[in-house]
Amino acid sequence: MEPFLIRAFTAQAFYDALSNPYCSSNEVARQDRAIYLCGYLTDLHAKTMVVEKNYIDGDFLEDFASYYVRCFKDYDRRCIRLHFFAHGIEEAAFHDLILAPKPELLKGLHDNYLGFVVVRPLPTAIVGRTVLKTYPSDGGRRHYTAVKNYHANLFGTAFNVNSLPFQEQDTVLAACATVALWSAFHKTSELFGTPSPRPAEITRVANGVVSNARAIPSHGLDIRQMAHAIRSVGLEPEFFGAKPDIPFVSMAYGYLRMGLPVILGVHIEGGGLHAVTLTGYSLKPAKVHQQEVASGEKCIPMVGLRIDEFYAHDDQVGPFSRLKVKASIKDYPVLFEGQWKDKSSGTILEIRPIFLLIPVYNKIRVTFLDISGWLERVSAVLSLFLPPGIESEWDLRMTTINELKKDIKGEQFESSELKWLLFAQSPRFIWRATLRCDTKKIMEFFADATDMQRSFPFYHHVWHDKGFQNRFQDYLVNPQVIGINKSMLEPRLYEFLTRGASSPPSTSPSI
Amino acid sequence: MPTNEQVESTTETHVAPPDALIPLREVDPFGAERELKLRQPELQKRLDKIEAAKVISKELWETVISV
Repeated sequence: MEPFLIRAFTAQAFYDALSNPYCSSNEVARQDRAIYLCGYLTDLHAKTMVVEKNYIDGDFLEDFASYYVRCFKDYDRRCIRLHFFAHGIEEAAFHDLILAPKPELLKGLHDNYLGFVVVRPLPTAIVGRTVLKTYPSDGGRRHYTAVKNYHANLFGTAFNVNSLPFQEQDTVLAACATVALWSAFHKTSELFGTPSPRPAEITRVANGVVSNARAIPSHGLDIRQMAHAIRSVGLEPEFFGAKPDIPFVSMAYGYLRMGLPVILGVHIEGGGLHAVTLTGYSLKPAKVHQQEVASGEKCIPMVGLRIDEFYAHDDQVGPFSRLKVKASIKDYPVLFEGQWKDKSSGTILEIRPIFLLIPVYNKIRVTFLDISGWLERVSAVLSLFLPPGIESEWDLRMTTINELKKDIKGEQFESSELKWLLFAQSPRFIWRATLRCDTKKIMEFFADATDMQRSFPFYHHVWHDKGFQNRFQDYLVNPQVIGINKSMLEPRLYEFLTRGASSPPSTSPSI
Repeated sequence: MPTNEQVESTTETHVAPPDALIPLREVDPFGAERELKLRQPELQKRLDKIEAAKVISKELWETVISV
């Protein structure tokens, strides 16, 4: 008997493959995650499904050892893994290909590989570790940043897929908070070399700090417990409440752009609090929102005004599910619209942001809010020069020194600036703030993200528009306005902006 | 107290130095000083809100995420 089956991908074949003795195919076909995954795979043009029987999944094995093995029912410890391909495969041809691989045919398999779904042998929460390809970039608007390269081995053949693991919550060993952390830790392990514990371990550790109820079966974590789980892997929990006057979309983007997984806490209309992991965003060429703070509040125009949706691993919806950004009247900076629906009426439920929780390396100490305060000061003075009708935008995002050096080589910089940025010793983590006016780059600030909140964070600035620079610096040093400019900018920022060229930071590079 | 339109008119005299990438307003220092003094309370309010946003309430910190 072959250890695999080949099936043409259809909804019925997919639901059959997800079923088990405790959950029939008809029951599977009514489960939201299964329906979502079927639609997602259809969108990815899945044509063939390879059913890998008797698959041992590490995550489920730990769940099994922590809980299911002690149930009276005889749950299986082995799973099934479904692999998806975007082309048709014959069973005999696949068999031959595995036993005697031909390079040109193998290339076809690699090129058409869409990822896999581990099927857990349980009555509910059958969708286990799921690693599926993302949607295409759609002309460069979709950015999936919190993903990494995964290898899936199938009978000695390794397949690659760029993704982030997803799984459905079982509310036994993992509720949404645990699953969101689990997905996030897979990415931080790549970024910072930290561990990526399995769900049962995350729930156990989180309950070590404070316990409101029994740890297992798990019905959720509070934010302190989530923060403790983050510390347990050697990272720090950066936490922001969703205040109505804070540019929430730009803040999430500021961290996500570097690939940091951002855990978004939301309130589901008519329900409770829920956590999802943001994995990417859609950035449009022009503004899609008038503001990203509640009606009546003000903040500097930022890149978040061009983001129309985020992509989230939502353990009650599916991987890379859309969260459309909507304007908010009050109480919240923005609102989201996703796939959450009222069960009886079918109407789409409002999703209200409550917090952002970001697992960061301990040397990332200066936050998005720390830098945005300085940009508010610059913007207040600089905007004197902007006539009505000019659209300005601050693009504030975290980066690493290595990424920055790589990026600037593909951008337009004066040769002296390029040399400075490439050769000067700089911090390992940097906040980069770019001011654009009518899509033209005007100036950039580089801030040391490893510094202290109360110190002056900027160590370098670049003017892309020398004409603007001359006019602005002439104005700043005019005796008539020195006093008010120093007061608006603060003396340290005033001195920094009036320097013709900033000097390299004197400190050694961060490690 | 002057309106925003009146304040703007005190700072703008003509447009576009030839060497700038975008057209710029000509800024008269006397007008700018008046305009910035008017903007200062609003900036301070904004900075205070950013500082306030850094504070996490105990209630939020203990909120259970369970849906």
